[in-house]
Amino acid sequence: MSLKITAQEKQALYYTVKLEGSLDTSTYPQLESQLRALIVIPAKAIVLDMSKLDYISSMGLRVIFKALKDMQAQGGWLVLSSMQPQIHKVFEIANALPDDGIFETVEEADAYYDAMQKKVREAGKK
Amino acid sequence: MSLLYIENAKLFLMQTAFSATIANRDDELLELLERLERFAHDAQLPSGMAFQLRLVTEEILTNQVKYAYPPGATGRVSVDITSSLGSLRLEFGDEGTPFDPLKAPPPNLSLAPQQRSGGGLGIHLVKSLAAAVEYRYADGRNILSVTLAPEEQ
Repeated sequence: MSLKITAQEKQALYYTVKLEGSLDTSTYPQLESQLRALIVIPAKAIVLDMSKLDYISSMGLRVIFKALKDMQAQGGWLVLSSMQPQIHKVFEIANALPDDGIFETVEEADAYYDAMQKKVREAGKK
Repeated sequence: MSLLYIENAKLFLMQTAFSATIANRDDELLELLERLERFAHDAQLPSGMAFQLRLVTEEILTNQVKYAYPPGATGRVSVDITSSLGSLRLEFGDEGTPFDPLKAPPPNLSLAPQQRSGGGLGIHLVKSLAAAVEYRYADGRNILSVTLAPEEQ
């Protein structure tokens, strides 16, 4: 029952947060404070890489919901990627799979973000 | 005669697998959850079953430790697990105020996750994963029984 969190700034204000292990009643405060630290920067985008996350409970879901809310409030982007089947199932039961905020891989999330940024830049030129 | 034999066989197969009673404290809760994880590992439960067991026990025991007794009051929380033919039966007990968690208001799942507030998510996960959940109050104890069935392949 441990959680390892690795945060990496991939582009300016664009972060990948990799989770390894369990997001549960004993580890959720770690993710809460890591996300808080990024949100107050304020980060423009956060991708949660869940490829090595083996377990999540309702406490873990709550932390993610709260971060979604905070990011949305400041016009940022928080997305989930690479969920293992059992994690996907928990999100499904909680009816918490965002329609447009879930990616199969971190690379897909990167590509989507790049495309979004490009659109914004082009819109700015006109 | 043959019926009696079957009944006896059933009794024999119904084995106590895990049993623990703790005080309603976070440190004891975490220690118990770790012991349960070791139990799941040692019993070589299939991964789907181990995941369900872990989630259900964490959700229910966390609620019991937080809410079964008034703030500041100490009390005991128990879990007993029996196994039978690939299924697990979990029985959670406490001596707090009579409270049926199955009747608590459900979370509003139609709201976007970021707009939700309040509780009920944990017990919703339990109800969704379990094959059966039953509550009863007997001899001054809240008892919540949860049956976990093997996942269909």
